[in-house]
Amino acid sequence: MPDTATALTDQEKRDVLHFTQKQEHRRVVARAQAVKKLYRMGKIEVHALRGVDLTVFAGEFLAIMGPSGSGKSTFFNMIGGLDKPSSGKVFIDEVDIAQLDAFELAWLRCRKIGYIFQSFNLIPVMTCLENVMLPMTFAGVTHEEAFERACEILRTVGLGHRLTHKPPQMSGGQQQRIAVARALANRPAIVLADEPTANLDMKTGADIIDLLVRLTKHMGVTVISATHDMKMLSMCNRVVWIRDGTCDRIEERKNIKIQVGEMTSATEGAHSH
Amino acid sequence: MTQNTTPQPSAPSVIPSEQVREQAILPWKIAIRITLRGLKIRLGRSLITMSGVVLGIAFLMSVLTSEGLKSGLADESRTNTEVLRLFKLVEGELGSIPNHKIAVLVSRPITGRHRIRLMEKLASQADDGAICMYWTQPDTLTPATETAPGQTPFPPGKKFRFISDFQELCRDAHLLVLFDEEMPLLSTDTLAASLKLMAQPVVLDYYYGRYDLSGLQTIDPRIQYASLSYQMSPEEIVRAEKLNARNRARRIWITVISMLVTVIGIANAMLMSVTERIREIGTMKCLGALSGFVVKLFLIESFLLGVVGAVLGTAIGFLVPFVAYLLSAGTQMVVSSAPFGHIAIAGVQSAIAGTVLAIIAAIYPAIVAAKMVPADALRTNV
Ligand SMILES: Nc1ncnc2c1ncn2[C@@H]1O[C@H](COP(=O)(O)OP(=O)(O)OP(=O)(O)O)[C@@H](O)[C@H]1O
Ligand SMILES: [Mg+2]
Repeated sequence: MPDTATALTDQEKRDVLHFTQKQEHRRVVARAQAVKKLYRMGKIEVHALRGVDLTVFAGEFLAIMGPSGSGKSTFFNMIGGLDKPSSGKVFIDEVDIAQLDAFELAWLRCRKIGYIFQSFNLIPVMTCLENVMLPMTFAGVTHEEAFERACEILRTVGLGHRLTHKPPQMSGGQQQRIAVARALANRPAIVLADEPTANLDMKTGADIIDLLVRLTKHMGVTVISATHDMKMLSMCNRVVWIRDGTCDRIEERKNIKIQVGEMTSATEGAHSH
Repeated sequence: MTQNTTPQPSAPSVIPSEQVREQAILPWKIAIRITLRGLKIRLGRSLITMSGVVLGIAFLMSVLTSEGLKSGLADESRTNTEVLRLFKLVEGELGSIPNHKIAVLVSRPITGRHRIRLMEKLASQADDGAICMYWTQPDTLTPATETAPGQTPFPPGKKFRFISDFQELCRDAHLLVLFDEEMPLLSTDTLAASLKLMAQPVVLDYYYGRYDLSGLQTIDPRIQYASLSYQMSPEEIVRAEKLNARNRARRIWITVISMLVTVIGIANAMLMSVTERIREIGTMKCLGALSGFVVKLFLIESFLLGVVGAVLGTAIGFLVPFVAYLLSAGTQMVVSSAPFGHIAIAGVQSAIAGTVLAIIAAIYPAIVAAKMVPADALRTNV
């Protein structure tokens, strides 16, 4: 199994590090303020989030880690404007998204944020190309331009030769790359990913992580990704640890390097050493 | 870190409100394009959904058509027997109808297929201008207002003449048809006076033999009196009414049941086709679709499926029983007796009902799904 890190050049690695050091001075793109989420199912109440505060800076790669059921997906939905917090506020570009009307929210989802889901959520009857063109259609891009741009993005994610195939005919990794391409369709400022590698094997998962890292580096996109994937930890700028619906700790990647080493030594050692 | 929490003025943070509205509302053209593509892509699924509409409407329409054809045939056979009896009587008395003047006394607009067909058959046997009609007021034997002849389905011309004088009507007539059920009995004197004018009177009381033959023959022994309709005894009338009531109840029952089957069938087909795509709706909303646009897509789709399905269903639902009746009862009989007007109205109604139903059944869950927060829509598993 090839190491994920080798997929990046040394220069890129240095850039990522450099970036990590600089990001304190960068602009805030998203901010969660005491976000709570309570699910009610009859008499049972589930406190999925118990007050999460988080500031996300432009251009960083933020990983959200935590055990299953800790509230990662819930937080993903909140910060992406896909669900409403029970209390607390979410700001995207310093705009409180609770204040937005349906039009503005649609605009935000369309242009500001690209979503990547664990289960891909592609539209199965549409071709690869049409899936990527759809958000552009919603953004009012002309058919011709959308076509050109979708082709280009699909080429950059390495699917230039599968444009007219439909998602069900493709592998998980390929489908997730379509999803990445679709998330990038309207050149979003933020890409939100919920366990993008969970349904993929190590190699394809690593490819997707590479793709996301490249986004932050070359396109200045902010990536927020929930994950269980230790490989992602080694590639991100910061890690947010969520436990039981609260933000346990936030760590710079350089600080967790040792921890990653510790954690991964058991699993990684088994097959790479 | 604190300096970052204050927004930078240069940040492209403000959402351009005008632009938002312009671009968020996608035109119908694009919605139609997307819908048509979708229908083409999931042709198989669309056809199955549509077949739900087709089957529902075809079922309803076939019930309505066969009911219509059945009542048409029943009417026709009743007319035929009565006309046959009329012709037999006339032929027995006069030899044959041509060359004879037929006087028809009418007080109400002639409606109802049965009566219209009777007049048509009479006309088909008579010479041009042989059928004379007199329109009387319902209660006295005075001419009705001028508009009365206009109310008949028989235009004045070759066969029909309209006469506004009772004496004139009866003069030299061979046959007097008292057409109306509710017309008051002519007094014996009036009858006697008019019968004297007739060439060879044959009095026919169309409904239920209200004249007493021996009484009439004291006026003029030449009178032949026949009641066209079979004269029923009181018990028979009661029985017939019961049968009628039962038939009517059966017809209503069948229609209601078939409507229910249609409603459930269509609603089920459309509902399924939308609910299985709730995740897709959630995805589209993540990609920036407005709820209104999603609803628009489903509106167009359900309209197209509804219209095509309902029209197809109506055609099939008409043709199948129609052909079946053609084969079993004979072309001539069915074509001449079928109440095509009524069937056409039923067809238009069921086609419209099918379309509306399909739209409602699809639009309702689509609106519900579109209003969900995307997170919930994405969690839906059907
Ligand atoms: N729509 C919902 N209705 C009710 N409870 C929910 C809902 N969504 C999440 N929960 C609950 O909230 C808690 C957090 O769920 P969440 O999906 O955010 O976890 P997660 O960290 O993403 O887990 P995983 O790593 O397994 O994906 C869980 O206990 C879950 O049961
Ligand atoms: Mg999750």
